[in-house]
Amino acid sequence: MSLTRPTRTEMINKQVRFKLNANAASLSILLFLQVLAFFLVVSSTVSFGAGEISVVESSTASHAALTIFWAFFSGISLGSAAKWNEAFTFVSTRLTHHLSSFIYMMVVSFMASLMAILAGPAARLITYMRYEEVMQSTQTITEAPGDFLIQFITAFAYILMVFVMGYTIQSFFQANRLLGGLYIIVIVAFLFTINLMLGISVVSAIVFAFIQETSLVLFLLKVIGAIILLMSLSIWMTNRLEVRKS
Amino acid sequence: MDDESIRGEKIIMGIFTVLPIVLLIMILILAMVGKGFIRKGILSFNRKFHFWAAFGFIGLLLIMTILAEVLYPTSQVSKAPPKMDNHFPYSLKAYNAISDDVIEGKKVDSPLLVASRTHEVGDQLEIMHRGEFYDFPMIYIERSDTASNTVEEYVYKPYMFVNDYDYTEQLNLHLPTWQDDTMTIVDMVDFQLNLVSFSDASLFKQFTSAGLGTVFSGGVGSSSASPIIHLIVPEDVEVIAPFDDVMFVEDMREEW
Repeated sequence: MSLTRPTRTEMINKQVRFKLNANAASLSILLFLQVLAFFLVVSSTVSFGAGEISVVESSTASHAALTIFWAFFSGISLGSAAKWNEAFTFVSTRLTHHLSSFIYMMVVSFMASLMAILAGPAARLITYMRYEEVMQSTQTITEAPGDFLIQFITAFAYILMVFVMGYTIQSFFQANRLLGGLYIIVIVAFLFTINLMLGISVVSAIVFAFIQETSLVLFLLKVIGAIILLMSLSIWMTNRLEVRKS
Repeated sequence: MDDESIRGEKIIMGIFTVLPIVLLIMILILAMVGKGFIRKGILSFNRKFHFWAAFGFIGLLLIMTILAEVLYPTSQVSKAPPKMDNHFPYSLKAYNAISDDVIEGKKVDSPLLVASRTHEVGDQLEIMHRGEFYDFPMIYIERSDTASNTVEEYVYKPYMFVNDYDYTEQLNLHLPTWQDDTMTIVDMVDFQLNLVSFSDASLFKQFTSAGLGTVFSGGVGSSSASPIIHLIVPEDVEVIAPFDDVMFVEDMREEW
C-alpha cells in the first residue's frame, strides 16, 4: 500500500510522458509518410494539335492527406487493448487515462500539423529549384504571414479531430468487440435509412459542415464541439471496462 | 505525335494514376515487414531515435522554409509568362492589327513578325501545303504593280493563351520552304510548353485569402489562331493555290 497519494495532475503528467515514449514510433511513421508525400506530384501531358503541353501540379495535398490518414490510424492504435493495458501499469483511473490520451493527441497533432504546414514552403522550394517557371496560387509567408498561421490552426484542428475520431471508434470496439461492431453497424444503418427516407446524406452534411465553413471562429467552435462529443463517447463507452485485461 | 509517343504518354499517365495506390500498398507491406523485423529484434530503434528524427525533420523543414522565403519571397516569378488581365490582351490585339493593316494597305509594324524575306520566282507561284489542317496558315496575297519577279514574304506568328497566361513568345514557327516557283508549308506551328504550378493543400487553406483552387483546377485550355503569311506578288506572276484559305487582298478591299 502506498503512503503517498498522487494528485490527478501528477497522474496525467506521468501518463502523458509514458504515452509519448511508448508511442514514439508513430512519429517515425509520420516522418516516413511526409518524406513520401514529396514524391507524389501529379503530372500529365496534353496534346493540342500542333504542340504539346505538359502539366505538372505540385501541391502539398498529399502531405495533408497522408497526415490525416496517419492521425486516424494512430488514434485507432492509441485506443487499442494493448495500449489500454499499458496505461494501467501506473496508478491511473479511466478518466486520467482518457485525459492523458487527449493531451498526448494534442502534442502529437501539434507536431504533425507543424510538419504538414512547413512541408508547404519546403515543397515550394523544391518545385522552384527544379522548374524554371512556376505559377503559384498560394502566397508566400512574407506576403501573407497571417495566412500561414491560419493554415497551421486549420491543420491542427483537422488533425486533432481525426485523431480523436480514430480513438473513439477504437473505444467502441474496446468496450465490447461484438457490441462495438454492432453499434457501428447500427449507426451506419441509421445514416443509410435517413438517406433513403429523407434524401439527406448525414455523412456529407457533417463533412460539408466543416469543409464548407467560411468563418474560422465557427469552424473552431464546431471542431471543439465535435472533440468534446467524441471524447465523451469514448469515456462513456469505456466507463465500465476492466482497467486491466490479462 | 506518332503512335509510339501516344502509347508512351498513355503508359506514363497510367503509371501516375496507379502510383498512389501502389505506394499505399508499399507502405502497408513495409509497415508489416518492419513490424516483423522489430518484433524479431532484427531492427531496433530506441525512443530517442524517433524523437530526434522527428525534431530533426522539423528543423530541416524550418531551414527549407527560410531558404524558400529568402530565395523566392514573392509568388510572382519573373520568368513566368505575362498574365492576361481584364483588358484586351496585347498579343491578340497585335494579331488582329495585322489583318487590318494589310487590308487597309498600311505598313505592318508588328511584334509578331517572324521573318521578312524576298524570293525570285518565274511566271508563276505555286503554294503547297503538306501537314495537318490546324497547321494551315492564313495567306494574304497582295498584288504589286512592279515589273519584277520578286515576291515579298512576311510571316507572322499567331497568339497563344493557355488558361490566363500569354504563351505567344514560346510558339515556334517553321518557315515555308521555297524551291523554284513553289512555296511549301509543312507543320508551321510547333510548341512544347511545360506548365508547372504550385499550391498548398486546399484542406488547410480553407480560411486563407488565397482561395481553395489551384492554377489548373479548372483544367487546361488554350486559345490560338493561325499564323499569317503576307505575300506581295507582282501582278504578272500567276498564283496557283489549290485551297480556299488564300485571300487576295484586293478582293477583300472591295468587299470591305
